[in-house]
Amino acid sequence: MTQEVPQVRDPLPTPPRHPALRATVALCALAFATLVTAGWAAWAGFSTANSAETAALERRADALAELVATCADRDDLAQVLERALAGSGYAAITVEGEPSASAGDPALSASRRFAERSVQTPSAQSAAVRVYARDPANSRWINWIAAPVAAIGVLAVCAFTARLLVRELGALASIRTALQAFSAGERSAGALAAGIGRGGLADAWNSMLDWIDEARAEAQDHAADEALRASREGRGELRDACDALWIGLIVLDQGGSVRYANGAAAALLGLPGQDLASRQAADLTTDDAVSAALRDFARGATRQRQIIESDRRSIEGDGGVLRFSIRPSRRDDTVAGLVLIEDITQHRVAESARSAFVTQAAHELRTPLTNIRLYIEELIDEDGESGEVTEDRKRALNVINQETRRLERIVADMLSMSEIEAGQLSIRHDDVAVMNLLTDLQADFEAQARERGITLTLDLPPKLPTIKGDRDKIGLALHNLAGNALKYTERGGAVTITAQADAETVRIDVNDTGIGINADDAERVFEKFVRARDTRIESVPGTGLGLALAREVTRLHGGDVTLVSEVDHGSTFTITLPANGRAAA
Amino acid sequence: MRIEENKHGAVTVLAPGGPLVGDDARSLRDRALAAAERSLGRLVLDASGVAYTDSAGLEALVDISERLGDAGQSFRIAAANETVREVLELTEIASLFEHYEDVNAAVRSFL
Repeated sequence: MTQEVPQVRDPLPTPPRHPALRATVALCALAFATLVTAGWAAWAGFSTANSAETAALERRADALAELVATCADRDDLAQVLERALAGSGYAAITVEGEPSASAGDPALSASRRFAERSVQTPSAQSAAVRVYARDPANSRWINWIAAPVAAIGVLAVCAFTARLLVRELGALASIRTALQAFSAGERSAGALAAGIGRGGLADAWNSMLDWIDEARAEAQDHAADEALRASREGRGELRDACDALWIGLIVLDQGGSVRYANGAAAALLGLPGQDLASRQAADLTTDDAVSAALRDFARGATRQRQIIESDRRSIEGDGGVLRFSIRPSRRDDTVAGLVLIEDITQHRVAESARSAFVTQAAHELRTPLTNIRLYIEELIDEDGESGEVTEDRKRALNVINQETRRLERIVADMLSMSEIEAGQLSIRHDDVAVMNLLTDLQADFEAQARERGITLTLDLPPKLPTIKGDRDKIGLALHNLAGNALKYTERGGAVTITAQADAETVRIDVNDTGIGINADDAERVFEKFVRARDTRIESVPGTGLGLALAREVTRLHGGDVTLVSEVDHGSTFTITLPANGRAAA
Repeated sequence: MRIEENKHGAVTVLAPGGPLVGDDARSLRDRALAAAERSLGRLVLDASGVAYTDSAGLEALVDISERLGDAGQSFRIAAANETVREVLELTEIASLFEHYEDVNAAVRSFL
């Protein structure tokens, strides 16, 4: 089986530059390049022109110096200067020294560049010939262009820089606010976004938030896909598990049709290998009670859990006892159903065997116990008449007699319980005088109570009715209650038996001041072989049958046994029997 | 081959009296499947009388196990001798069955 590798989103990519940011950067670069080029061109032009003019001036000065040196007198000098100036394009030409001479406008010479040469004038004086350029040095056309261009460039750079700074600082402030909100628990990308139009940083931040949002969405989609896949696999595993169950399982829809049935269900219904899907569940069994219950369920007549045991055993022992549990299963607003089918045949067989064994054992035990008790009683009576037996021997015989009677009651309990389970317990309809029953009860337990230091009190009204019932069975139930009361009451305590009657019922209360029974065990103690969970009773012998038998017997008479108890304060068991003797059997 | 069929409570116990080979194996399979259907899968094979088995016997046992498995039941084999168990283990099909030392233990497993 190949294991699917979970997809992992690519790591966070470098955020793409925003177009506006790129345009701004490009514009700035272009403006800077233009300014540099313009400045370089202006400087180069200026420098070239200046150099050429300077060279021309120098050459002219050389030429003039030769001419001035050849002049014979001042007039000649003046003429030479005038001729040199005419059409030369220079502002002025001067000869400084003796004799001084000039041509052009000497006033302009202060602001002009010039070339100078030393010469010998006609008068044999040393003089300096200067040739002045026509335009002033700082009024070249290049200056008029370069200065504004440079100014505009500087202003533009400043404006761009200021604009960039404002935008980036605004973006930083927005990101800072967003981070503070994130620390406070905000996770929404919309709430954490920096403002639109705040420049490259804000755009990059927003891009990162978008990426995180997409990554989160992808992770959620991936988790949902995984959960869905696991759920599908789980359903497949669940179906496999149901197919392997040895308990039959049928899933019904609202109309009682089979949506799913495992192999065990088909086999237990005697339909091995058949596809039960879409068939009406009520048609799958020949048991009338089960079919009726399934039809009721399909009609919606009942939505309660029902348990029906269907015994379909043949004479040869084939088939079996099946327990059908029909229960609703709610999903959302719809109610479907489940049918569980258990094969309890072997359990039934085992229970029957156990019950038969108990019956047999009880019968086998009762006969010798009865014989032993009769002979002991006879011995006690004879000894009492002759007076030949010592008190110790008599006491021993009494103990043997009491223990034998106790064993006899235990056997009677087992036998009665076995009869109840087998449905063979018969209730006689004798006239039972409740008063006599209770006085006999007191007589039976008086010696035991005295020996254990417990006060046994019988508190009866002047008159109690005679009811219809089985004297022995009711007596057995009362013996069990009174015996328990004495057993679980400590020395110095009290057991009180009271009775009252009206037209409808006879009520007998057996109250003790014993250890009591906790609320959790109050109902359980009426089950077979169950005793209260209290460490104090572990050393007290008991079968756990007495209360179960008492309840069964009274219920068979149309009455019941109830319990009110408080731990460490005692218990009151109440037997209620119908006064007119409505015995069930 | 003689195949004894006994009831232990509600459980059908089949006890073949000889080696599981050839047609005998197929006969056992048919008897076992019919008994399993009648007793709703409560079936035990008492293998104490099976001295050895061949491939037909193994095939029969696997068929029975699969048919019971479809109904969620396990095929219980009781008292198989060492030879039979060794063959089941060597052919790696021993895990298809539940093995018990004796018939009573196998029957009790239905409780």
